[in-house]
Amino acid sequence: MTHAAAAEEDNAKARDVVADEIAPEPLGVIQVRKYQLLHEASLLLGGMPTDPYYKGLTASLGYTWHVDEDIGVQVLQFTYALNLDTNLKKALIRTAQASNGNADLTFPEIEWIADVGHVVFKPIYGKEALFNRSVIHLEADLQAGPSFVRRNSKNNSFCLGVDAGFGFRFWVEEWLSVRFDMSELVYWVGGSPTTAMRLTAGLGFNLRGDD
Amino acid sequence: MRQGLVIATLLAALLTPVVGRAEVNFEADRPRVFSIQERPYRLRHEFQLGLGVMPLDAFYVGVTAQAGYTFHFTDFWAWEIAAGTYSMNFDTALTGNLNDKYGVVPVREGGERIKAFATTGVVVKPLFGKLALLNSDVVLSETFFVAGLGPMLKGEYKRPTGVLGVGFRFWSGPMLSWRLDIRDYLIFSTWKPENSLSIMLSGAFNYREADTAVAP
Repeated sequence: MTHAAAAEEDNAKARDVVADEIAPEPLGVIQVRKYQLLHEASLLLGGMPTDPYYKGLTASLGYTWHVDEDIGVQVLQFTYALNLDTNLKKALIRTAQASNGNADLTFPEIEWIADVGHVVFKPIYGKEALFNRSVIHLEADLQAGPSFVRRNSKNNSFCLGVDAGFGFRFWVEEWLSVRFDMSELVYWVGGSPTTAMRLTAGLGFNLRGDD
Repeated sequence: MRQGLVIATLLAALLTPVVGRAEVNFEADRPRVFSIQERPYRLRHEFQLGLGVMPLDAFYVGVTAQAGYTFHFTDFWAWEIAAGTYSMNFDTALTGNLNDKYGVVPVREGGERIKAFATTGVVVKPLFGKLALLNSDVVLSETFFVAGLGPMLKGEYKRPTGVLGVGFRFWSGPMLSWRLDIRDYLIFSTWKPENSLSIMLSGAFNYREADTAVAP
């Protein structure tokens, strides 16, 4: 290699180093959220579809205090269940009646659930273009916390459980969003765990108050 | 004369605000302009591998594995040409409980169990956007809906099946994205369909010809 070629190579390396040093880092710009929640009242309808003996149709009323953009506390959510017997339950009753005439079988069902002090973690907020024409704002959350379960049985009618799940919402207006939630409730009946899946859809009303 | 002047002045004073309100408020009346960014990532040939769960049946829980191929015509329409799913089934405690509590044993293990199914369907992708993750990172996302049909091997029988679902896609890069699919399968063992819910997480690999790729 000639002296001139070596000098040119050194110059090229020096240019690359300088270019690397002065090249701007790509900036990720996060917009300020258009919709901010503070006091939220929710009305949700849904179901508990996994119990073999009944399917629960549910209605829930709740209040959530959104501490900041990332964290909220679902102070209370009360869920009432209207339960419909499955074919399995009817078949068992028929079998019992046919075999010994005794249809006094017990099938404990959830009557209501009170979710208290659930932590709501909201890691995702964003916007999506609908058919490239209009913009929809949405948010996804994870939530977990203790739940009290009331069953229609003589024994263990009150149970303590833990509920965890996820949900997402689309905003319609600043004060109104459409919510979809899915969660799994584990509650203990006499020491043994029992589960109930909950699927809900409904409305969240944002009552911002004086913030 | 003086009385007429007073009346005219009063009338003018009363009318002035009316005239003022009739003026066009350009600031408030101006058209709202939305800016929709071009999609940085676009799909063409999508190969998907997923793992999921079918939790609804009282007698068993299905742990599922799925492989699929989807051809994306445009930003909004795609055809999920084939999605094949195998279900590995695990008993719930129900069979034992029925025996312990009620002294009965279900016939045929409580009914036919889903073993495998394949569907083909239309995909509509109306929503594309970007999400802030913990207010620090930006993730590109898409929401899509699926409707399709196909055969299902349930027990020893093939059953016609319809599927409706919603999915969420999160991009890692132009070639790799992650999907959450929530689907309801309508299984026609009789004219009255049974429902089976599927929740699945997938990795999706996108192959797109270089000449049609869009630079991020």
